[in-house]
Order: sequence, then C-alpha cells, then structure tokens
Amino acid sequence: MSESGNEYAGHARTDFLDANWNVVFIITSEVKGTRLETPKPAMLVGEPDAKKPLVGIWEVNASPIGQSPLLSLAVFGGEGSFTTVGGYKALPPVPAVDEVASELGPGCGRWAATGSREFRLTFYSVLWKTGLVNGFQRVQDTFSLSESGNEYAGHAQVDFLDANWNVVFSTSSELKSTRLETPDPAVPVAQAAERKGVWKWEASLPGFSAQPMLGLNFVGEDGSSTSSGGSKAPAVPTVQAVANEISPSFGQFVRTGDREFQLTTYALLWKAGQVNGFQRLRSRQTLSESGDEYISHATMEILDTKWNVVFSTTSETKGTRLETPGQD
Amino acid sequence: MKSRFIVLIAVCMLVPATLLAQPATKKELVGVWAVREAQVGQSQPPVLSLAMFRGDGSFIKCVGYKALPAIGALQEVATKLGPGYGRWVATGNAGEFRLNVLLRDAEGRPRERIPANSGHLSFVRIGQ
Repeated sequence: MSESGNEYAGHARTDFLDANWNVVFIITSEVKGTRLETPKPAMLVGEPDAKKPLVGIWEVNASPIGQSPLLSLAVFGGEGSFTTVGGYKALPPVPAVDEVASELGPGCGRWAATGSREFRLTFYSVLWKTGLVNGFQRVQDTFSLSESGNEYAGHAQVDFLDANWNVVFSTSSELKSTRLETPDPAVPVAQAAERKGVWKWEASLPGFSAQPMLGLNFVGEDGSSTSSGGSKAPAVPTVQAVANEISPSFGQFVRTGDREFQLTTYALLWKAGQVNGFQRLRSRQTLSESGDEYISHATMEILDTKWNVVFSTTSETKGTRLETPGQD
Repeated sequence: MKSRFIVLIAVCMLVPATLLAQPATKKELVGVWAVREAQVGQSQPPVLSLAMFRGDGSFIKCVGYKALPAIGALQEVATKLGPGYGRWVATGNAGEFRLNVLLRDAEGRPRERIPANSGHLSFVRIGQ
C-alpha cells in the first residue's frame, strides 16, 4: 500500500487446477491497484439511521437517453458497498462506445447517505472488447427513497471511458427502483454471521438440469449472499423461451433457528445479452455441527420481466466451506 | 459421469509484497480499485480489472465471465472463468494483505466436448 493509501502493488500467483485439485498451469504476475473515487460516508450526513433503509436487493429500471429502458439487479450492502448486474449487451448504440466495447461487465461501487432519504452512489464496470477489458463505465447516481422505503427514484450520470480513463461518451438516465422481497436481516435474532465466508455448492435440480450444477457462494458478515454457477440456461423449452443465460445471483440470509437459515436470492436471465427475466430461489438451509457444511432444500422459479412464474422446480444442495483468510 | 466433467479449480495466491512503510489498516483497503495485472516474463499488455474490498473482509472481483488464456492445458479443462469472490485480511504492520478469490468457469470444457448447457465451473482459491 502506498503512503497515500490510494495505490497498492504486489505479486500474484494463480494456480489452475482440475477437479482433483491437480495444478495444470501456473501464472505469476505483478499487480498494481489504483483506488477509484466513490462517495465518502464520513463527509456525509444522516448516518447510520439514514443508511439502513437502503440495505437490500433492488430491481432497477433505468431509462437512458436514446436507449430502451434497461433492467438490472442492485445490492446495497450495510457497510456501504454496492454491486450490480445488468444486460451485458446494454451499451448505447454510438460509434465512440462501439469502438471501445462490445460488452459490459458487472458493477461494483460504494454508496452514502446525503440526507434522511437522499443518497449518492458511484459504481464502475469493465467494458469488454474481443475478450479483453478495454475500458470502463462510471455511473454516478443521486436518488431519493420513498416514504415506504421500498422504492427510490433519481438520476444517473453515465460515463464511458477507454482503458486510459479518458471519457469517450457521456449520457444520463432516469432511475426507478423497487425493493425485492428477502428475509429481514434487521431482526436481531436473524443475524447469519455463522454463514460468513466462501462456499462451494453442488445442487440437483430435477427437470432443470440433467447434471448436478456446481457453483460458488459468498456470504458477507451481514448475511448478504452472492452466488454463481454455470451461466448457460438449461435446454428446457419454457426456460429457453425467456433466456439462454443466467447471471450471478444476489440474496440475503437470515438465521431462523439453531443452525437453521433461510435464503432468498435473485438472478437475471439474459437473452442475447439483454435482461429478459429473473430467477428467484427460496431455500431453507441446515448447517452441520462443524459449521463447515450445509444442506439446503429450495424452490427455484423462472420469471419473466413482469414477474410471472414460467417455470418452477425444487432443488437439493450440499455446500462446503472453502478456506480463506480471515475465517473465524 | 463425474470424470466426464472435469472441473477447473484454479488456486490463486495473491500476496502483495511490494509494500511501503506506511502502516496499513483494514480500513485503508476498503473501496473500489482499478487493477492492472502484468504476467511475469510475458510481453502481453497488462490485464485490467476492477476489484472491491469490503469493510467486512470480503472481496469481489468485478469482471464477469472472462475467456481463459489460449493455453492448451487450460483449454483442456475450461474455456471461461467467472466472477471472483473471496476474503482478505491485513497481515502485518507493513501493509501486506492476503486475499482469497474464487473464480469459476462458465462453460466448463471446450464446447465440442460437452453439451452447451452443461454449465460447469471452476474454483479459484486465493491466499496463503
């Protein structure tokens, strides 16, 4: 870490392993990180009381100038973090952007309260061109939460930048967002800290996937969850009518009893890179006595963009904790 | 059946070592970072990505699904890597950080070897 705290440098070693954990290839690299500007909570008013209502998972509908409305999922974390995923082909049809990118990656950023129901958010996404990161998207949002706390509306300034962080195109959009239903982590008894960490999972989903599906699940201290598995949607006609790819999913854990948890997650469904539906999973999980394994029973639904269920199945999942630093 | 679907497990160890004298606290690393990775001994341009270090010790590599390098040994087992998840800790007063990242493969193996809808994955465990 540099003296300014805005740069770091280091070495990385990446070992690629097969299913039996045999190393098949090793890459070593030099790594340099540069901090990106995001809202600073310490400079803003209204925390922490104002901050709490925003925490959760949201469906966001953005209306950019000159583009069709764009759907995305957004997760506001309790400690100010933000992650989002939208259509990876959702780029403005302008030559300046087309020159830099053909696909858009997921976004990550930070948010802060600026008033009792007013917020600022900045997030960044990578721009892909022929398989390489060739630029970035920067989005700066300002928005207000409704009185119910379940909707927000505001404005986004969107900049597209090349690999050297030069702005090549700017636009703006209006935002409307609706909170998605998850178990309430604000209930003290419901804290799911035992699930904190990184997990691998294997799920059987009859009628959805012929083979067991594999994935990773990452759980934050606040019980927030991010999961990813195979990105290709199964060849089930009703599913394929909605989508051919599935995004990583976002969810919220709560503890419901001794080693018992509930989890609700949402993922986007992509058709030709555009958002065309949602996947919702509601599960009940039981943690082993060691705390390093779980089994889960879930209902998985495929929904269209109007939230009509078009396919549903149940699943059984086994999860195993993976070793990471900072594990309790 | 399982052997037909080799899962790529990539273990990455990221141990930032070129670290300066300023003591680093956990708080200093929290935020969103633009990252450049230059493969040692290779002339290819650095690989760009975004990374987010969260205040609760968790880590997300925000790149989405990316194609693996065109290296035979890798392409044998997988064609894509997915998002990276992990945890990080401060390891000393010198501002060292360890980081575990988990990546997965979106398609598993080259398409001609598996049905396109198989969706297998890889794991990356980072940190030592």
